[in-house]
Amino acid sequence: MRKARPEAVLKTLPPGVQAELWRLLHTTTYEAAVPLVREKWGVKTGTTALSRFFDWYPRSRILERAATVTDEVVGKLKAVGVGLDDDTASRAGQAFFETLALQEGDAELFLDLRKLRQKDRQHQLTERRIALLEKKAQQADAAAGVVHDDTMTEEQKAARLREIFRM
Amino acid sequence: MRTARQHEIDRALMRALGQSGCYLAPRPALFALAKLHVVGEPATESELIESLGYHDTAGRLTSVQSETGAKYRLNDTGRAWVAENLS
Repeated sequence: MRKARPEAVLKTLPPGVQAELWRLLHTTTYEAAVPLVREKWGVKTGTTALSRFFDWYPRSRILERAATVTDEVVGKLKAVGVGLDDDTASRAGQAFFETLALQEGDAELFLDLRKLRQKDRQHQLTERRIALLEKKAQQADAAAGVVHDDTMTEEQKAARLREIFRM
Repeated sequence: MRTARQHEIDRALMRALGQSGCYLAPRPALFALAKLHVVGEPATESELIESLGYHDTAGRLTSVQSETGAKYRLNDTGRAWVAENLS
């Protein structure tokens, strides 16, 4: 059986433990948290896995956050007595929840798109590098041809080489 | 019988659905979140659709088709599955 990756172990902990770990990481360093996590939950982990968990955890709760905010908004609307019956409050809550959930989802999508754009830029840079290398190879081939050309004088060769390398 | 990979995606999807409480989660938001919960190889759209169909057929979800797309939430059977498989 394959050994689970350290961050995979943290990602599959029960929700309550994850929340507790998230709070713990706000109060201590990753280095100090490693032995604490092992002692408290029997999980062997490292600083890199903890750092990835710290980044992943809030993103992994988008629907929970949307549901909590929606509950609060609906609760407050009911409390101020705007005359919302249960059915209307429920429908308004659902619409609000969907908007929040999709906005959060879009944030994820935005991040993905940004990563894709970065990949595109890296791809363009690689293509440019290849084009430059190809150009240099062509110059080297042309220069080799000039150097080995017995029909040209030394002055002609020098002039042609300067022309090839644009000197 | 589900494969280990399918079970992994089933769990990720239910982890995501478990967060929406009494609200119906729109499919794009649900899938974006489920992808974050898949451990290992990233989940594909078709794997998530298959898993959603599996849970729906097993009667663990309340699904609604609306003008703005499909939405889902856990029903009592789904919540029992979550309690049994994810805690």
